[in-house]
Amino acid sequence: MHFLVILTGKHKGHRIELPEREIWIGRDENCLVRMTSSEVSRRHCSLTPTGRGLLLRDLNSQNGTFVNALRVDDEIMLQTGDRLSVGPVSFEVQCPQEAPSPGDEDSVLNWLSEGDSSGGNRHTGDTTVVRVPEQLQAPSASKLNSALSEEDPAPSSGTIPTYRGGFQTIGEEAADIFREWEELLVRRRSGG
Amino acid sequence: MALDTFESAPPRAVVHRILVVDDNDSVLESLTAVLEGAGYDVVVARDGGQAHSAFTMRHPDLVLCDLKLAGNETGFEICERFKQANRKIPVVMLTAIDLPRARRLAERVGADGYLTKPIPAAELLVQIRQIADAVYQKALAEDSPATTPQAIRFACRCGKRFKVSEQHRGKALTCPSCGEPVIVPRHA
Repeated sequence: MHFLVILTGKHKGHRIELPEREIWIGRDENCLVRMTSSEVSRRHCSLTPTGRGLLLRDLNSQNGTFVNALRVDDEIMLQTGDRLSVGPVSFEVQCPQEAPSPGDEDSVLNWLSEGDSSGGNRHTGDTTVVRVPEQLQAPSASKLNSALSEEDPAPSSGTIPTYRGGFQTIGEEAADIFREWEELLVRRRSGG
Repeated sequence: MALDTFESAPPRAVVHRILVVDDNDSVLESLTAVLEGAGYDVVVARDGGQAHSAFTMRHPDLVLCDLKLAGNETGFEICERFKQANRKIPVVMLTAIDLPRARRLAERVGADGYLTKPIPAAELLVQIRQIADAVYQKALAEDSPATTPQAIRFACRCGKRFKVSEQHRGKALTCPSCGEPVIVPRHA
């Protein structure tokens, strides 16, 4: 299991557990680790766990991806202790020390879950590891907007801390409202 | 006597420029005609990007915003950002969606009014006036030195309860109990 430990900003110390597949970091909704900073490209870089380390690929990002303060031109294999910087946020890479266990996308996405959280947290020294119940659904990655917008006072669109009704963002709740409205209209039409 | 009369009159908002956010051209046209006919300067935006630009560059005195828009942003999200940028600018949702939960969400993101389409032109103009005045008077009351900042209460996931000043809305803090980050709710 590979990890990224956030080194900067208000989420300093959080440990993100990476799944055993390629993931993207960027502003795009499809990115597993999503940031809101304008310094970050939509698909900024990718990380692929391998047996020899964590393969970092810069996806032609506008402002560059940096490892130990050096810009990555194409791709580089990251090892434990390497410092990865994407926009305003820096991470420390932690590669597995022992036999890996299968990764789970939920575990990356849910660590900031505000609504449903009981108890899955444990502390390991300075690092907080969040264990997420398996039954939780994978939410939209946009919840990490606020998680990774380092000391950025600009509001992050669609993220509110007071999630309600199981929705992670205003956008999700709005989409559900629109869906309900469309269904209501269809029922009205079909019912005369 | 005249002075008494002047002082007793409730303060009224000055609304000159209205930003209309809607992705439907015919709606934009009709709203523009109605509002310009009433003497307002109208700025239109068709999506979130245009809306944010217009809000920043044109400084509207009031925003009329549809809920369902082209693009990624909904009217709810636009409203939330506008109210965070300047809560004194009234934001009125103008939508065909007539659902209680949509009204509740609009209220949560800070909307000052929720009007449903179709709405008669006269009614729209009356509502705009009333909502603008209400927001203006509320802002005046909040700015009054006699007003003490309201405390907001919220809780961390671990159960630790906080009470902080309203000015800290949206800021993050570290829970002293569990060490997790906690964001002060942006909305009531």
